[in-house]
Order: sequence, then C-alpha cells, then structure tokens
Amino acid sequence: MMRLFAWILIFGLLVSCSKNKLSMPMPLSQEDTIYVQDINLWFKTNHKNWKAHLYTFNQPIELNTKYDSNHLKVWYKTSKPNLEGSVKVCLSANDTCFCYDYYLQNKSSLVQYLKDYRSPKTVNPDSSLHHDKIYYVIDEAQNLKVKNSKIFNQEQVLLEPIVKTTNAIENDNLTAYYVQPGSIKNIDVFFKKDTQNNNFVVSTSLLKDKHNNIVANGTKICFESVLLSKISKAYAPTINGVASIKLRITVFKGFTLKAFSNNIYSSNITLR
Amino acid sequence: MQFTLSNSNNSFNSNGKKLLLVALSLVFITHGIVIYFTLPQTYDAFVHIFFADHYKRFWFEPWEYRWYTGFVTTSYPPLVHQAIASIGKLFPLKIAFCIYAIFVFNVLVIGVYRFSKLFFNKSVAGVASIVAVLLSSLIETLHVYGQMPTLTGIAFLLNALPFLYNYIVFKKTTYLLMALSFLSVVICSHHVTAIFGMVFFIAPTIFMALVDTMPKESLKTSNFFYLCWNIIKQAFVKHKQLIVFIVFVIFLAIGLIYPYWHWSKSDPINQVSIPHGSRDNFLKNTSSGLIFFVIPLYLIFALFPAILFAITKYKRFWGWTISFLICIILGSGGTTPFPKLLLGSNAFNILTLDRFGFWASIIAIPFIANFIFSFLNGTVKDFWIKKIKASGHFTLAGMSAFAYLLFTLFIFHLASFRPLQPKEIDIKPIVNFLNRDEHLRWRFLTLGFGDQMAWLSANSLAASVDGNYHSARRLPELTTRPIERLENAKFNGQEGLASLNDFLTKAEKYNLKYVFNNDRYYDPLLFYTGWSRTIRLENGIMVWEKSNISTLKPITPKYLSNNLKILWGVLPMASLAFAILLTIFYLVKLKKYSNEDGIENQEINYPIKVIYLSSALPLVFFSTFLVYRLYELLLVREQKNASTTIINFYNHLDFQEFEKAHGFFKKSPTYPLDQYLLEKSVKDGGLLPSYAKLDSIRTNPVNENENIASVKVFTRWKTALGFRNVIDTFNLEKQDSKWYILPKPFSTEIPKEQVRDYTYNIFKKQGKRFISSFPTIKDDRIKKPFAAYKQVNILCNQSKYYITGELLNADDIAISIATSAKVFFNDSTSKIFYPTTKTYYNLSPKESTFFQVDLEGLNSSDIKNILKVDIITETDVSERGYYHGGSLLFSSSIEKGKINVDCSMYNELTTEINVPGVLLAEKNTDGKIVQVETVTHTNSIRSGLSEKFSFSMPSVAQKVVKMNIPTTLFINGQLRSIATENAKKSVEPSNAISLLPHCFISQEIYLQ
Repeated sequence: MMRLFAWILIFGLLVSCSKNKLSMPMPLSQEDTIYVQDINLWFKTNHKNWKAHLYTFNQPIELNTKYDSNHLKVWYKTSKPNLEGSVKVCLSANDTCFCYDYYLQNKSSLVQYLKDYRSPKTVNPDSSLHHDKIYYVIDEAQNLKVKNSKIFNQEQVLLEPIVKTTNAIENDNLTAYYVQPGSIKNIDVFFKKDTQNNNFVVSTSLLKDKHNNIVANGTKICFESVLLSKISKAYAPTINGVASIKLRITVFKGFTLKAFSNNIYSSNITLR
Repeated sequence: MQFTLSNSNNSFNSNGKKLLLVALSLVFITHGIVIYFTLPQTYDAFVHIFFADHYKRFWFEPWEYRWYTGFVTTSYPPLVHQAIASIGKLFPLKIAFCIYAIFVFNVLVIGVYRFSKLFFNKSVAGVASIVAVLLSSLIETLHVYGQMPTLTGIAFLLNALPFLYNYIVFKKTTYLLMALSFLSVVICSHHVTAIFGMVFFIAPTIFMALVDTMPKESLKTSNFFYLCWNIIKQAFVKHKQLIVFIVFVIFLAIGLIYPYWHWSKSDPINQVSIPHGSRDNFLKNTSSGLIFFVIPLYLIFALFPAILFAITKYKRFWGWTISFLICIILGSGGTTPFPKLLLGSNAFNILTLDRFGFWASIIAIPFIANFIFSFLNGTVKDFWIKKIKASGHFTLAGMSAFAYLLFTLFIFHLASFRPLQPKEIDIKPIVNFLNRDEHLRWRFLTLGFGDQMAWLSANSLAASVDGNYHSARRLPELTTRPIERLENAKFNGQEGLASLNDFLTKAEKYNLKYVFNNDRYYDPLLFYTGWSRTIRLENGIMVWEKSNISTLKPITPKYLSNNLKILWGVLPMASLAFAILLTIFYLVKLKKYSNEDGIENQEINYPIKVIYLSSALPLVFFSTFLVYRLYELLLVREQKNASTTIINFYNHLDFQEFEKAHGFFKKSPTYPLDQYLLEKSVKDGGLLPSYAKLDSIRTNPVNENENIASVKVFTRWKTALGFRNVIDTFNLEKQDSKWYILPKPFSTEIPKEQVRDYTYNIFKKQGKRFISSFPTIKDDRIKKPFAAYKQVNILCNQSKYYITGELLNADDIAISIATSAKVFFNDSTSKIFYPTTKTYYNLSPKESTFFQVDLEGLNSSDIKNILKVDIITETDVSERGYYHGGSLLFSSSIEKGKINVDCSMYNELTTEINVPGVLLAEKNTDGKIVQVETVTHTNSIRSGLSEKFSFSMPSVAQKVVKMNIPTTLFINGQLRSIATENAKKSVEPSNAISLLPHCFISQEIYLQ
C-alpha cells in the first residue's frame, strides 16, 4: 500500500511539473490586409511574452510587441516599401508558434519602372531586321504591375535599317541593342599615282550595304592584282567605309587589279 | 682474425659517439643551410611537395584531379608525403620539406653509423657517419635529385639492419620488433628500396649473421661449395627466426601499402618506356655518365682497391661483396650489356639505374671509413710516416681532403654549373590569374617551367593536362610516346613536339584553355595551332588562350573503398609513429642490455699496393677532375683549327654568348662588338635565329691551307614547327696559331620611309560590363558571331583521308573559330578530328579561310564503316590574331605533279613579321579545295621590307577522289548548308593555287 502511495505521489509530481499549454491569441480585427508602412494589430491573450515576426516573400521582419491587460499590441513602422502579397504574422513564445495569414500592401503608390528586354540584341540587316521586345512594369519594391491588362508584354519590332546603338531603356546602357551594317553591296576601285613616293595608292569607293549603311570598320578587302603568271594579294581593313593600299609603281606597273570581299568583286582596272 | 660483438667501453668506442655527434652537427650546418637554396633546382623535390600538398588538402581522398585527367595517389607509397604534409600544417610546404629533409638525413647518418658497426668498431663507424655527410652520392640525391623517399627508405633500412642481425644472432623478439618497425617505415616510404633492399641489404645481413653464428671449424674450409653448404645448414639451424622474419616482412609489405598493390594490379603501367640518362652508354653520352655514375661513385672508384680488398677479405663480408659488385654493374647503365641481361629488357627500360650506383656507394661506406680511419690513425698512417714522415703524410691527407671538399662543393653547386631547371619563377601572378574570373574552370598547361610546374600545381587548385609523375599517366597521347611530360617537349625531339601538338590541337577534348609559356621556342607552334596571347603577367610569363573551349566536366574518381582510403591515410604515419615510440622505449629501457657496440676486430692490414693506390688515387682523381673542369672553363683551345672554330662559334651562338661568339671574328676596328650585335639584331627575329635550337652541326673544309680556310657548315635546327637544315659557308684566317672567321659583307635592304604608318583596326571585347560575381549577366552576353561554310569536301588521296573546305566570317566583328570533324561509325562509336596548323583560327570581318582536317589513323575499312560526318564550327568574338601578315606577290605553277611557288612578301605593318608564312590551298578545276598546307619561311621581315622565298610541294589535284559520305554542317550548334553560288564556281588552271598570308608576329599588336 505504501509502495502504491509512493508511485501515486511521484506521478502527481511529474504531472504538476509539466508546462502550461499556451492558448492561441485571438486577433481583435477582422481585416485581412495590412500595410507594410504601418502595421498595427491587436490580439487577445493571457500570456505576455510573445515575439512577433512578419514573414514576407523576400525577408522576415521582426515586429514590435506590447502586452497590456490581456491585450497584445503588434506594430511596426517604416518608410521602406516591400514586396506585396500573402504574408504571415507569427506569434511565438516558448516552443509555441501561431501564424495568421494577411495580405501585405504598400500604403502609398510606388514609383514604377519599365523593364525592356530585346532579343536578339544585335540585328544584322543581312538576315532580318525584326527582333522581339519583351517588357513589363515593376515598382520600386519589385512588384509586378499590370500594363495593357497584362503583366508580361511581348511584341515584334521591325527596326529601321540604319546602323545605330539604341538604349531600350533610357540611360541604361545595359539594355542597348544594336543594328549593325550588312555586307558590301558593290565595290568600285580607284587608283592614284603618287610619283613622289613611287606608289600607286589604290582605294575602294565608300563601301555600303544594301541599306546604304557604311560597312563595318575592319571589313577585310582583298586587292588582287595579276600580271601574266604573277599574282599579288594585299589585304586592308576598311576604315570608315574605305580600304586602301599602296603598291610600288616599279613593281606593279601594268598589273590588272580588282578588289573583292566575300563574293563581291569590283571591275578590273589596270595600274598605269 | 676474430670477430666479437663487444660491449666494451674502450677509447675507440667513445670516439665513435663523438664523431657521430660531429656528423650530426655537420648535417645541420651544411645540408641544413644549403637545402632551402638548392631545393628549387632539384629534379624531384617539387613533385614530392605536390604530393604533400595533396595530403595536406585531402588526406583521406587518394583521387588527385590536378594532373593529367586525374590519378590516384595510391600509386606511390605515401609516408614521406604525409609526413611533409603534417609538418606543412604548421610551416609553408617548402620549409616543411627542408625540415623533413634534415630530419631524414640525420636518421640516415645514424643509420650509417649503426650499419658500419656491423663491420667495424665504433670509431670506424663514427668516421663512416662523417663520410655519409659528405658522400657525393648522398649529396647528389638530396641536392640535385631531391629524392626524399629514396633517402627515407635507405635511412630507415640501414637502421633496421643491426636489429635484424641481432635478432638472428641473439634470437631476441625485441630486435625482431625493432627491425620490423623500421622496415615498416621503409615499405611505406619507398617501394623500390623495400623490394631491392631485400636483395641487396637484407640478404647480405642475414648471410653475415649466419656466418657469425656458425661454428668456427665450418669457416676454416677453403672450399667455396663446402662453405656454401655449411651456410645452408646454418640457415636450417636458424630457420625459425628466418621464417618468422620473412613471414612478417611479407605481411607488412602487403598489408601496409595494400592500396598500392591493388592499384598496380588493377591499373598496371602500360606505356612506352621513357628514356633516362641512367640507361645510356656512359662512354658515348659522357654528360649522363658524369651525372649518374661519376659523381655518385667517384670516391668509391678512388678508393676502389681498398674497398675491394676489405670487402672480400672476410667470409662474413662475402654477401656484401656480391651486392656491391652487382650494384656497381647495374649502375653502369647501358655502358655494358650486363645490366640488361641481369634485369631483363622490361625492367631495364622501366627502372632508373642510378639507384643501383647509389646503393653501391652506401654499401661501400664502412669500407671507405675503415681505410680513412687507418690512413688517419692506423697502419696506413704508420706506413706513410715511415715513408714520407709525418709532414708528408699530413700534406697528402690535407691535399686529398681539400680536393675532395672542392669536388663536394662542385656537386652542391652542380645546378649552377649545369642548369638542370629554368630560373626560378615567381608563381604568385599565375596563381592569381587562375583564381580570378573562374579560370579554374578550365585546364592549363605550362611550357618551359621545368619541375616548377609541380610547385605551381601545389599552390593552386587548378588542373593541368600535364603532370610530373609519369607512372600515373593514362592518356594515350602521353603513354604511346616516350616523353616524360609535355612541359619540356622540346627536349624529347620529334616525339615530344608531336605529343605537345596533339594536346594543343585537341585542346577541347581536355578542356585545355590556358598555356603559361616561359620559353619562346614554343611560340610559333602555339600560334599556328590556334592559340592567342592574352596577357603578359608581372613575372614575364605569357598567357596563351584558346577560345571556344568548354569548361571542365565532373570526372568520376577511380573507385577505392572507404576502408582502403582510411588504411592508406592511417597506417603509414602510424608505422612512423610506432617506430619513433619504439625507438624511444628501446633507448630508455633496453639499450643498456643490447649487444650492438660494434665489432671488435683487429685492424685490416692493407697490402702495400693497395695502400699506394688508395692513398694516391683520391688526390689524383679529384684534382684531375677539378683541373679538367678548370681546363674546360679556361684553357680549351676553341680555335685550334678551322672546323673547331666554326663548331665552337655555333656553340656560343646557341647558348646566346654573343660576346664570346664575336671573339671568333678576325679583330678589326671596322668590326667591333657593337657592329656585330647591330648586324645580328637586324637579322634576328626569324624562326631560326630566335625560335630554334641547334640540333646537329657538321663541317666540311672546302679549301684549307696553312693560313686560310673555307668551311662549309651543315646545320640542323630543331624548331617547334619541325627540323630545318641550313648550309652556310665561312672563310677563316689563321693568326697567332688561332683561326678567326672573316665577317661576311653585310648588306641590308633599307626601307624608303623614315617613319612608317599603318592603320590597324583593333576590336575590344568589353567582357562583363556589369560588375557582379555571377558568371553570366544576360545583358552582357554577346551573340555568337555569324559564320558560313563556302565549301566542304571529304577526300581520299591514296590511303590518306581528309576533309577540306573554306569558312567565312559573315559577321561585322573579328571572330575566332574552332572547327572539328566528328566521324560517326556504324558501330555507334565516334572520333573527333581537328585541323591542326592548316587553317586560320581568327578572322577579320568578312574574311575567309581554307581548312584541312586530316582523318589520321583511319584506314579504308574504317572509312567503309563511317555512318556520317558532322563538321562542327564554334565561333566567338575575337580580339586577337586576325592580322595575318604582309602582302603577297607570288607566281605558281604545277609541273610534273609538283606545285612550285615563288613568293615575295612585303611587310606593310609597323611591326616585324617574325615567321613569314602562307596558307596554301590547291583547287581542282571545279573549284574544290583538294589540299591545304601551311608553309613557313625561316627569316623575319622587318617593317617596310620584303622577303622572297620559294617552295615546292606535291600536287594532289589529279590523285584525290571525292568520298560520298553523308555530311552535316553545324555552326554554333545550328544546322547549316553551303551557299550554292560558291559550289558552282569553277577555277581556271592558272588560279589553282591560292595563297593567304599566315605569319607569326611576335610583337603582338593587339597587346600594345
């Protein structure tokens, strides 16, 4: 009997040592939207040591708490905008945590930005002048905004066949897209005699593509001159649309010369 | 003659310990001071440091990905590397290596002392320990080879032998335990020492112990066979000890380094033998003889009569006599046929034979010491004092010692006299380069670094395709050729360069993107195989880069069970720790009861002839050696006749000793050194003057009389692009018994313009404009440039199959291209081929290039099994390499199946063209390219000048057959076809040969 009594005593002590279970604080407001700049929530609870956190998409924020006669005030004030959307406010004490769903909004309207992506960024008129423009709007808290009743917009753009570098978004050089010159449409070649220096100065005409753009700097032009079995090949890059070489009069007098690049050939001229 | 093992405390014994202490101190003040400075010049020190670095980083992971394409470190016993790694946890690895080296050398000196006590008394053993400090073979092994595992192996082996001897003589288990603990360290340090040590050291020790424990009557016989029978009988008497010892040794040898045996069984070394100087005929190749035979064994040869007399004198030494003589014979390399006969051709071609000479020198130490002791304090001294008085003896001793010390100094500084390695390279800029911009994601290769490539690897986590441990090589490009490593390919002749060429060409296969070049010899090869210079680092190393190389993909390490990995990481160091602890215990508790106080014996009385020879020979040998060195340095008559003059002139040129070379010209006020150097600078820069090494020279005196001679010189030059032969003629004149070269009249073409201009169009790729550690920012990605195939043909010329074609840069920017041909076979296998030097790798806007991809190794049956061929080209924006050289004026003809081209190249650029060259394409009448070849010229072309050259080669237009194999064309992963207007174009026979300039320009205009 004594032994049974001792067991009961030990059991009773153990039961009396277990923690009190915390009851769930009751929110006092039915509002399900909170504003990041001014969070102000009230809960009814009989426990005073609650900690509160706001869990958003991009970061957890610690909220302030104040307990006063069975009421817990949870508040937070900031001017910093945040990503909008579903969030959780979690109250935790000891090992217990209770979470409440809210919808987070920014209180005032935020500055909006346009994001504009082009693909391909480099357009060569030899192939196609079309490219895709993909754009959307975000605000300063990175929230996607609806534009033209859509969030993501896409349209095909036919670019002007004029060589230029354009920023898709003003002052943002990273967004630049490029219209490059195409291939040479035709080549004319001329020579000038520089007797003082004993040279033929051979130049191409101003080389342009089919849209009248000056061809890219560095375009390799081959000047091929022939006399009987002798062949001469000299290469020069175009600078501002013109390529030129110098050939010794004493060596090249009488040679027939043509200039070419890829499959575009000039007519023959004779160096005299 | 009586041999007794003594515990007596006579004066001999107390001198021995003092001498040992002197020897140990000498180790600190000689090797200890010098080792840090000789370490960078050694052959192997950095390799062992690299292994130590591996264990420092990944102790329990044997997979080492940084060399070759990965290998397991279980291929080499790990103890030395793990010990250095352990010290390296506290000190930098170089210091750790030095600390370990000093520790091991001290263990070695103690080992020599204890080993010598098996033969003679303690005083002789003390002298032996001093001899060990100054022995040329040991100095060479430490300061020239940096062979730490060999030294560790022999140091602990020598310490094990007295215990083994005592175990057999006295049957005490303590001695067995001590012997086995030291042998464990040997096994874990150097497998070769462990294996051969059994034959050359342990067997004679057992022999000696058996002889010493035999009844004295059994030794008295003069019948050799009867003696052998008595020894066998004694072995039966001692069979228990012998069996226990042998069983334990075999158990330890297998168990301690089991992962090594597992590796050698599962992944046997299967590669072409690499030539090694120690296998040369030393009479033919005297420089190998000097390094591998003369230097390590010079003292042994000088004292050979005394050593041979002493080592054969007593029956107990006979085992050592055999070991010593066999080691000497094996150490002689290919000089005699005996080493090959003894070892068999397979072992002969794998082993480095210098180690046998090294072991012979170790066996000889006690006998050298005994003679020196006798010379300084024994019967030999008495003999000389009687002959030439004390002062004469002192002078002889002093001069011999002085000559030997000078010889020793020579070995310490051998690397300075005969540079074994390139000058020390500051590796920090390279390490920084590899760490930044994720350069670690590709493999690299070093050229001209010597063994410092291992030091670079030890300091970086980047991976190299090369390595410095040839037993671990498994790539067929390396194992099928007799080359040690790619890094020094130029020293391995055609095979070396062919192997390097393979790697430079198949860079994509090995994710090889960066080459760090410390030797401009390789520049032309790098350029013509499509590499571009990127940056010259602060240490002067040029970084070459290849574009369109994929990043490294994960490699599955070779499987090894975790248990074996743990054993590999624990047992070797445990064996060392166990040996040290046991030694401490032995010294503190058991030494006082031990029986190892040396052999108390009567002094050996050397015969007079031996005394004369062994006393005089060291002085003669070492002074002759030094006088010969001095003679070579100062007194060689380099101009004694016309041919010698020319050969020495070329030698000086080859070693860039221009002032000395100028001394060979006839003295004249109109031809001072300044004029010579100016003329030389004008002619320099071409393939031969600047990128070649003289391979061979032969002279033929055309006209020689007493004072005037004309000599024709035939030289063969080794360049990275192949051999070049040159014939030249020199006129010489004799003055004051010396021959002088008459300077040739110098004429040079002078450019018309005083100041030249040329407008370059240089492209600059901005790279990452947005500063972020993310590897890719979408807005900073550049589109893959456009390119197009103008034609592609698969051809057969007799038994040779290849692909030719023409590629166009269709873009507005300069591009780099990487073309390859992937051949698919019916059996679902495939092979990739690359165009080597037969194409441009960088193209200006709208520029095109010919290309040829040789389908090397494919025969007609392979061709029949081809399913299809993919021609794949990847493009990238290029900043370099698209200026290909000057303007060409050429005429060509095809006659009797030969293409003859006369070419004149004009350099209109503002920089010198170092290697003028052309990319030639031969076309058939349909306009199809039937062959492409790169041809280079040997002389450079200065700015504003032109150079004429001619060449001929076989025409193949009439021989080639077009193969109808399904071909698919890709550019940047997208399907492409050939433009029809190009395919239809026909060619006049007069235009069958097309040339494009294809020149190497060393002053990189893109980097200026």
